[in-house]
Amino acid sequence: MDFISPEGLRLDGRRPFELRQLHAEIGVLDNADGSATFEMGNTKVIAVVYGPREVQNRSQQQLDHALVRCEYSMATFSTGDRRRRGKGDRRGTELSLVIRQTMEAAILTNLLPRSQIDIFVQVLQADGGTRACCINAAALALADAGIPMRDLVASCSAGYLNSTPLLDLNYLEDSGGGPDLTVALFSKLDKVTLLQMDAKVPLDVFEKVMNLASEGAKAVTQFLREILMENTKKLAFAKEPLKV
Amino acid sequence: MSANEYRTPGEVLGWASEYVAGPGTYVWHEKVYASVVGLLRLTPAATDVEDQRPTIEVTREKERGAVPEPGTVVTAKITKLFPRQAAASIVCVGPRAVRDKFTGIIRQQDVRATEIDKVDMHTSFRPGDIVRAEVISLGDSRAYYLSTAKNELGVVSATSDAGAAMVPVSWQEMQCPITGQREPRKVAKVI
Amino acid sequence: MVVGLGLSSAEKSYIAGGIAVDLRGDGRGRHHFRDFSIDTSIIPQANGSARLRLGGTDVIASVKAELCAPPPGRPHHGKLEINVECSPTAAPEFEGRGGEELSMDLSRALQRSFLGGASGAGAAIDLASLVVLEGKLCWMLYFDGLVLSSDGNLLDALSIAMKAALSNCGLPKVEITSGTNPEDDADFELNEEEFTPVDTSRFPVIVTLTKVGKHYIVDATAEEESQMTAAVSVAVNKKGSICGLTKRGGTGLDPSVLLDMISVAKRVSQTLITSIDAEISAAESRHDDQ
Repeated sequence: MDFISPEGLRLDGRRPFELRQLHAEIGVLDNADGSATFEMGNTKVIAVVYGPREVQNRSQQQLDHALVRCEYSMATFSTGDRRRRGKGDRRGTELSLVIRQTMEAAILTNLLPRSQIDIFVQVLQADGGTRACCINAAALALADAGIPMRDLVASCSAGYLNSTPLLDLNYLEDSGGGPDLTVALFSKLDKVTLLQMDAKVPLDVFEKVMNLASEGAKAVTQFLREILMENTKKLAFAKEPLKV
Repeated sequence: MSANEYRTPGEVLGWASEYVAGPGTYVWHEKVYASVVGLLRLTPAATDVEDQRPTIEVTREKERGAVPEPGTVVTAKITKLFPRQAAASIVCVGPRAVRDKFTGIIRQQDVRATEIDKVDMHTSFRPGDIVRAEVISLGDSRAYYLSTAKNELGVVSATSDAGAAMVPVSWQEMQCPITGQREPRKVAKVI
Repeated sequence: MVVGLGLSSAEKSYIAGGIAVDLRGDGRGRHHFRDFSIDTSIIPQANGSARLRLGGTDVIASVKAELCAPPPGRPHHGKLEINVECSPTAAPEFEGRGGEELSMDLSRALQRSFLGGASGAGAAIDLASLVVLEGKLCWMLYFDGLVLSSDGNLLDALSIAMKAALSNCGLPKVEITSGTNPEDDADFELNEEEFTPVDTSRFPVIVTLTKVGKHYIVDATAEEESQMTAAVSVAVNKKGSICGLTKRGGTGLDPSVLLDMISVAKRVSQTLITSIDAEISAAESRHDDQ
């Protein structure tokens, strides 16, 4: 199947180095300490943070740092064919673990000893790049909850089809058989916190795809910062009207 | 770099040698970074302090739920009495109500300042009393340690056996307005 | 949050006292619904979808249609399936399997009101309208509800969201290419360009009446629900017929009180259905403008 037309356009009309349209909203659920929705094209994820709160299970309490827990769930209507997923399925467990480890690296857990931070990620629509979308939504929700972090984590995926590196794969491109690489970065500190890839690739191809995904993640970081600034300014103006 | 600008986590704010890292920031490799989203503020150091570096902090717009800190006065409801301590459930920290449940313990030696070894828990508190206490430490893994050993700390509200709200008579006793019966409590002197 | 700390006795008497004088905490009367907003077509991959915000309660409903064989013994009927899930975003207690009990409870209550009897009579949708080729091919509609945030009255919210999702739903036109003989299997083609809407006029709406003290209220918030002694959920359709009834809570109800509650539910549902229809058409026109 041709994933890139002779004019250089992908199946959804994008260029190979183009990200899908990003959209985010902060503070969507009042009950939680922090919440955010994040959309990358048609992939829609909502992330919610409860915490810091007292540890529910005493045996798991850590004396010198916070306990970070994460659960990933997919809605039954999120994929093309409706699938009823049990809670303990392997992909869900793996993604919960991956998101938890990524966010744990970002949170300054030693500032909140003996407490627990719960991150719940719910996928409303899956169209490729779900992993990256979840991490971005979780980062915004944590910032909304005021949990101290080293840096904002941003994530993006990339692949390689028809001999071209492609940024931000959608579901069709993801099932195209090429490699699927997801990277998450601390942008200001310039450190990689998550790197996952499936499939076999020669090393030079890997380098190209990895660099492309990193550039994508940096662009996402820019977007995250803008959204956070805008949201904070809105809250500030709501508290105190502008003094003219 | 000016104050009154918004910062996001991971942004460099300055050198650790020039500023003291306040709330909302952290120090790494000699630089001060922001750790939350908020407004950047610079506070000059107090004149009598040795370290004259100004404090840099990032303050959030949204308030976080209240958490008991050592030294703060909390309002708690007594839940259980043991021979040498009383368990309480912390309801407010200062003037703010808490969002999540916190447990506190008042030990026998922290009930009052005088004759601490002769304290009887049953003549100081009863389950259901509302007390003002001070957090003395983060305590063990189960509960905060609270103390009512000051004049203005102790029982502020209690119901008598007859079911009416009692009136304080002295620092040791409260009286029921309906039956006239006096019950012993460690009463707070609230002005 | 109510669940974390519980309510003090002062708060409890405030709620009960307010309800007794027809003035609840947020200023509503006993029989007033909260203002709600509906967004449709939020899940493009589903045949129909809607998101409902009722105060602090936030739910998403989606309808997915699949072709399959008709139910055994009823070759002229289609099929419906209803399922609700409580997302851990609504409360940390719903993580893992914590929300399962509530999800099953809500699913069963909705099934009771919408699926109709064993013969297919009285279902929320005219099942005969879902048939494509009698005896061989019919539509199976999967209704999925997801609770994102809860501030009381989940059952009513889910029923409104499902009604909105159904109005938003379009079934693709099916062209039968072969197999019209009774013995052959049917071959078909889906025409993804033309859509037929589904008739929602029979779709009921659930109104839950919560009894607090001596009075009953409509659309309880989570705080008010924590004080309830009994609750009756009545599913009423546009014509005013009752499609289903569920009673929850331990306190016994006098039969006359029960009949009174049902008549109140009927009355409230008529105004409710009118405002729902208005909101849905507003949502659809907003979506068309985009």
